[in-house]
Amino acid sequence: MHHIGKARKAATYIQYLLISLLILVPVVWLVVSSFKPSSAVVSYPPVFKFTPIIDNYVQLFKNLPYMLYTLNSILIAGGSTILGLLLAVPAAFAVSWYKKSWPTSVALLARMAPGGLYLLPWYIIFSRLGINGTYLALILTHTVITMPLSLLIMASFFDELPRELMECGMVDGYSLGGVILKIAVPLSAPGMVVSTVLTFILSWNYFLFALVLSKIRTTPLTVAAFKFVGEGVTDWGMLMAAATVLAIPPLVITFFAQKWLVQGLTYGAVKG
Amino acid sequence: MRNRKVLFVFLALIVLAMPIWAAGQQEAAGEAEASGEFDWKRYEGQEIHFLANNNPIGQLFQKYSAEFTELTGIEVTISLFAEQQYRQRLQTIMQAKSDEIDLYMSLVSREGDLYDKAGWYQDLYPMLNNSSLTSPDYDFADIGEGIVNASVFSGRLTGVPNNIEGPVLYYRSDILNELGIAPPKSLDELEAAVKKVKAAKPDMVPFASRGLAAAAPYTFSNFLHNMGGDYVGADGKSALSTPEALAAIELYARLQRDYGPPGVINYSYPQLTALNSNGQSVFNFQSSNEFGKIMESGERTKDTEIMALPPGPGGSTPVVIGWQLSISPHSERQELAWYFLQWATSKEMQVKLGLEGLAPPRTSVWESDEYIAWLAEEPVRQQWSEALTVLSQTGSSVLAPQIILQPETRKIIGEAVGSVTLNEATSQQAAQKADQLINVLIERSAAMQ
Amino acid sequence: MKQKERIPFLLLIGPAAVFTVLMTALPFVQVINMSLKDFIIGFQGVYIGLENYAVMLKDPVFWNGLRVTFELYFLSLFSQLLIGLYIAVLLHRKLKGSRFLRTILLSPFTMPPVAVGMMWLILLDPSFGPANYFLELIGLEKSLFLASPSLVIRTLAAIDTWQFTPFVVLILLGGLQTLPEEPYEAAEIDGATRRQRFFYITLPLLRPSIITATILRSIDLLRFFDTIYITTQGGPGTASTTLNIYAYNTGFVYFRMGYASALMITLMAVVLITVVFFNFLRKRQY
Repeated sequence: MHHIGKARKAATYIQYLLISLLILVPVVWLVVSSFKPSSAVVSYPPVFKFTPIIDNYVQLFKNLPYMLYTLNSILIAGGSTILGLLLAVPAAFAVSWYKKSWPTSVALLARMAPGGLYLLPWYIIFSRLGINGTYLALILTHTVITMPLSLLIMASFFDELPRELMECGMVDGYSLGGVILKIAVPLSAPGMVVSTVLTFILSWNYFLFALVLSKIRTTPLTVAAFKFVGEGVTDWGMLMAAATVLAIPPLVITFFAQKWLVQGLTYGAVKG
Repeated sequence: MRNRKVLFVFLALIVLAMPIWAAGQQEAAGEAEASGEFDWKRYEGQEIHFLANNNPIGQLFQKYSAEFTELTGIEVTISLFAEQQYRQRLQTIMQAKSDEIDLYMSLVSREGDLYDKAGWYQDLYPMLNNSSLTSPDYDFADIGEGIVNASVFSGRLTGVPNNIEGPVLYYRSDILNELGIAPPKSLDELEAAVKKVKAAKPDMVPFASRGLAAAAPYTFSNFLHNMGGDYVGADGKSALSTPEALAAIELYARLQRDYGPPGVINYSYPQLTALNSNGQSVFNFQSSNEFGKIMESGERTKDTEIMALPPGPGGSTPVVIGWQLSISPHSERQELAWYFLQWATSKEMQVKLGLEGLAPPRTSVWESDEYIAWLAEEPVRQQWSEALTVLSQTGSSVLAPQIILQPETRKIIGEAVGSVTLNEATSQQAAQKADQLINVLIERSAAMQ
Repeated sequence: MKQKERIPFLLLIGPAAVFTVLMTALPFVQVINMSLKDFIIGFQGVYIGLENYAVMLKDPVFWNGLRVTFELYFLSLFSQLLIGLYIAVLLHRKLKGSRFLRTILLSPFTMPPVAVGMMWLILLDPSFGPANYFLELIGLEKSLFLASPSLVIRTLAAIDTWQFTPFVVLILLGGLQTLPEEPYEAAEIDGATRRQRFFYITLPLLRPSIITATILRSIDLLRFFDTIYITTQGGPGTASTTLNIYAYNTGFVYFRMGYASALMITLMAVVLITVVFFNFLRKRQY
């Protein structure tokens, strides 16, 4: 790019710093507050100096089944990510290879419906099938949101692949499935990473379906956090800890996958 | 349907190598044993699911549920959700006629008509009258007749009342003494007192009460009654535009706006309790159920007193309601749920709840030595108990028009009061709009009969 | 498509298509069906044709919901695009450290809405929130934020802007990085100022990326739900009752599922029309 003068460089850095602070300060406040006793969380003016305690976390994991909730979240998010990919990869390849755009439009259409629309019909259907509140049911519902995202991301990554490579593969005697598995998917490894990470996080974060459709043994973290939200708020320290436990895994995953995510998001994924 | 099932299972099998939770079918309860001794262990090893509101009542049941398991050998799973989420779950479960939950908490004064008409309450009389299912010590007659009648719909017992509660006026007697203000004997005096407090103590909140729309009728209704207003007129239509009702709306809104805490429009019991227990509010008109929490730290026991809301031009009609425990008609473990219900509303349990600051509906508890001794320990406990006696003897549980779609009317009433509090509308405008919306629901409910 | 290609194509999209139909089309049909009924949860529904939709047109809360939805939508979208564009241009300078900032940018929108809602609920609390402490520190008055009917929409828009501007930044950054060099070189020769270059070259060329970001944000913003559900539940009064919140409350809190279904269908139509409109804008260029 163009040469940048010293003064402008300094000004840019100051802006970088301000933006970083705006983004980070609330999150840091959240995490730090989770180590305060409840009374310190709600004291005004805010307390900056305090002896950190881990009581809030001890309570979550000892008095409440937070271990189970965490495991449930992992199972549901993991299951729906895998199922979503299994369904989306062949479809994304078809969309890209045969240059058809209607499947992505349909996938986007399903995303336009308000989540509440599905709740009652699903509950009734799952009850009749006898799978209400099971991991299976929750994974299926979450796949409804993960699959379209995987489809969009993978289709745009497949679009970037040189067609000749795959045509060569077919000449070499690969079946269409073989081309996908042996050529397209390995070449789109960054796409697979982006899609896995983003759909996992999307599924991890989503609460509305599980709020109604999970049972106590299959309750994920998002829904468990509702014990601390709404009218019944009493323990602010635990609320902060619950929010932190909920937010940490996506943040950590994002941090480790950041290289692919930034690339994926900026170059391929959401090119639309 | 079958094809879909096959597909779902197929999809699952290819993808998942993880356990799928399948609730084991419970065996139907065996025939009652003929022995004379009541058999609490009859359903040992089985389990039930209880859907509860995460309020002090639900929390206490969770605290004590291990004792039930010890007594009966029945495992209880308690799902505690914030009020809105708990109701939303209940509705979905009931609409699907699912056997997921066996018993649940219900606020009969709010939703009784609707749940009863929809068939969501199991009639409890047959189990109550079955001597093989009901312990001889249970003494149902001990629960006040008036209280029980609120749970009886066309001869069916829809639940067993579990507590009595209502809004009471908590006030900082030390501050009033300091300022030379006598405890108010009328609503006028209350407003005058609040005004004095505001002038003398700018850092404190002179008056606090519920502002959150759906929750506000709980406290506002007491003002409405005492000002001589009512929700429904002789013509069967919403009556918020009568001079009495308008005066009540204005008074309540004025107290909130001019003397309430910032952001009072979003206040419900948690915020009120926070203000109350850290001593920031001088007058705090809120639920008697929060007594235990407010007194927990011990700081408020000496400087706080309690009374019913003072009378107004329309006399005094406090608000009194109660939560009940109900059994789902779709439950396949109704007898087990009945066991839990019996234990939860037994004399022993009710004494325990009483000692935690939940007023029990059982007469015998009020007369028990343990409870009397507990009340006598602190004057404020005595006052709390006296205020509750006033509530239960003179109170009304009319918090909105008594129609099937009552829950939504409560929100409309709360919004009307709130818009006056916020100076967004005059009382006439707000009342007129609310009347219009409520009349639609009144007609709609009449059509459902 | 050639006959020969149709079969492998169908085989590949088959599983995804079957899954989508079973999981979404079926409920969708059921909801349309419910919207034609006078259906109260717990009671037998009666078909009433389009009555629910007719009632909706006369319902002041519906119109209020539509107004709130669009106010929130325009306010959030506008600030996210504006701030997003500003940060993207800033990051495009590729100074050392811009990668670090890009990493940070990922965190807000990958955080769970439940946690974000809880976090802001405390930060913005009128009586003990640190946000007010900060305002007082710089000499401003305390604010009610979410508890004020006149500020609640702006506050919610600000929370959403905090969370999703970074997402917009990354999309726009992608667009910036694929811009051709030639127009800039030509402009330099013509002696165009930085401002001119930005407005006459960068902005027009960036249009597809801007529209992509707009479409993706529109879908979420018009259905604005999560943050409101956690922080205000539509209050104070109806000041933050968006269409989605109104539909949800009507059905799941106040039992009127028939009417709630009509509201949800209407909302979906609003989203669809908006997306189709922006899609048309995008295509018109080519």
